[in-house]
Amino acid sequence: MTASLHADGTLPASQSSPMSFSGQGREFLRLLITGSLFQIPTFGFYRFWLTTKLRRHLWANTQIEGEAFEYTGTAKELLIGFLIALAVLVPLYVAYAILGVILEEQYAFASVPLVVIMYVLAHFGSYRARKYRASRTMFRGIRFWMKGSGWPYAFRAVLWDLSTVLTLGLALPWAMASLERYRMCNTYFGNVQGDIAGTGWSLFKRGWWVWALGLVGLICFALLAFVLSKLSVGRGERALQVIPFLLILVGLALLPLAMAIFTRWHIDGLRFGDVTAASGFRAGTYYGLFFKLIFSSIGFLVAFGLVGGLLGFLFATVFKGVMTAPECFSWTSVSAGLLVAIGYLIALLGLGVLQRYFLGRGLWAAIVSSTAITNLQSIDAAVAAGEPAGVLGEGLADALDFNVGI
Amino acid sequence: MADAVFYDGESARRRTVSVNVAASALGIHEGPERVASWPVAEVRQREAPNGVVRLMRRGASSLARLDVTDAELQAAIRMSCRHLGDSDRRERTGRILFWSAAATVSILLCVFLLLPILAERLTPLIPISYERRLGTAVDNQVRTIFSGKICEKPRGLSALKVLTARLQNAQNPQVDVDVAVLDSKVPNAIALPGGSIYSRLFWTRRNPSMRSPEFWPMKWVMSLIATGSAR
Repeated sequence: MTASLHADGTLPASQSSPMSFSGQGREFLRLLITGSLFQIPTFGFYRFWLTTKLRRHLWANTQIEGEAFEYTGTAKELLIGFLIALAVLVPLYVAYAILGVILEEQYAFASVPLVVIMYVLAHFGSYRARKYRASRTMFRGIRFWMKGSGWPYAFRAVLWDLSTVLTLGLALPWAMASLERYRMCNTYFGNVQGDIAGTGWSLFKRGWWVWALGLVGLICFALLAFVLSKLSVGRGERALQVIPFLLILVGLALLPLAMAIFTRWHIDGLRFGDVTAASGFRAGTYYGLFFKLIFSSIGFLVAFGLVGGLLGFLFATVFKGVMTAPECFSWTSVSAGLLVAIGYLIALLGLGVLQRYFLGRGLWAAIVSSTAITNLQSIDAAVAAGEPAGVLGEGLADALDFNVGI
Repeated sequence: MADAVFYDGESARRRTVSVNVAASALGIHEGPERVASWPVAEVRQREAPNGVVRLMRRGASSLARLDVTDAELQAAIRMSCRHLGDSDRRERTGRILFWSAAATVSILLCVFLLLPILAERLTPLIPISYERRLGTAVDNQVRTIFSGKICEKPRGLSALKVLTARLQNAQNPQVDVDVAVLDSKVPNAIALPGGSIYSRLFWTRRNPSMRSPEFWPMKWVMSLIATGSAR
């Protein structure tokens, strides 16, 4: 694996070093399935260990020129982060409930805007979670780490979200660029500061047509809805109900495209001192993973339905005689309820496994192996700096179910 | 003596070193210079790609790592360092299972044992004014959601008044319930907290499922209201 490296560790000037992902899909799937099954008897507590194991696997198999990253976080840290987040959120929820009653007394649904607090907190948590992850990431014996605080980030994110909504998504490239700049300029590898070379304008130039396509689709459907609502009742009304479904379909079709454009823009812009990155990531890869996820989920649900139906039928026939006896009735109904609950859990966990396998690992591997790093030798001079960050953010993101990646 | 790669945790420089496996310690040498010496009992293995053994020294705050790719050297290290996988000892699955089960039992006990006891003890202590506030809060929402669907025609209201008065006389004359009728397809009724005056009971007038005797008074209400407030 080190054949391409010189004995003294230096590389010729501005040589491009491809990144690679060496993890086996089978290995990841084994971790994922056993971990998911352990979540049933542990009532979900095992997920901290599962997440940590998955991250260790992903980090350790991500290599630049044969040199692997390492994840140094532990499951116990995640557990503590979750408990701290509970300590923050429980008083908040109680205050929320009391304030809600007081406000609702004055005016119906007056407490709904209080959700905004959770939304701001989620942005705060996502920044802190990234900080945690960065400071648990190690390469060549040096830690990544982040400066910056979650509150100014949450403030920016909220303002950008607002302007994105007000401009019907036109501001999105600038929003993403601005937030990414805040994140990357606060990220360090030892004493080497990170940066992002891409701008909002460059992202807009790459992806404006996706936005235009989405907008045209939206306008078309709005016109269609208007026409249909003017038509006589009956058929028009039924067609009207299909429109939101079609809108979601158009959104789903454009989403991988937009995400692929953003990913390429993001990686092409990554800088650490003189180190630059270039991405050959293609939208087709994203669509492939997306379709694999959708079809495997459908396949899983069909198989699950068949097995579940068969088991239910067997259960019903076996216990038909017993059901009539009054003293056994409660036990059979309890065990039937338990079986249904476990089946429901297995269905949910199965879908989670598929999602993490294709969109978590699959996407990670595809992005990593389509990336090349230039001027890697310039980080030889990097000196260790920074401290491990706290765990509150991971806990908040977990408790608020705010998706911040794997 | 075989080659390996050493990262000292201070700089990102990659150092090709030779490793000397002795009974007591791993000697790490860069050329003639000794870089580090790790006691075998403190050497731990970290996650690494297949074919690479990544080692660290336990307890050391630095992020120093030793990457060994040579198979012979890996075997020698496995022979002499007996505690390579020890860091995982405290995170064994059995321990996790036990403590999660304990946590779950504790939560279940709280919900099914402590909470009912607490509710029983605390309910008489909650002031009627607070119950009224709770009731008003939900009442506002119900009135917003079903605005225009609450029966307000004078004939219907007077019929309802007669009915509720009879029901109350037949049961507990202390309780004064405020009843309103909703036009809804869903057979349902909502009783709100708030003591005698602010309690509100909503139900539908198209409820087919009230065949049992205890619903007869309600059925009678329905027929009365149906004639009183025909829409």
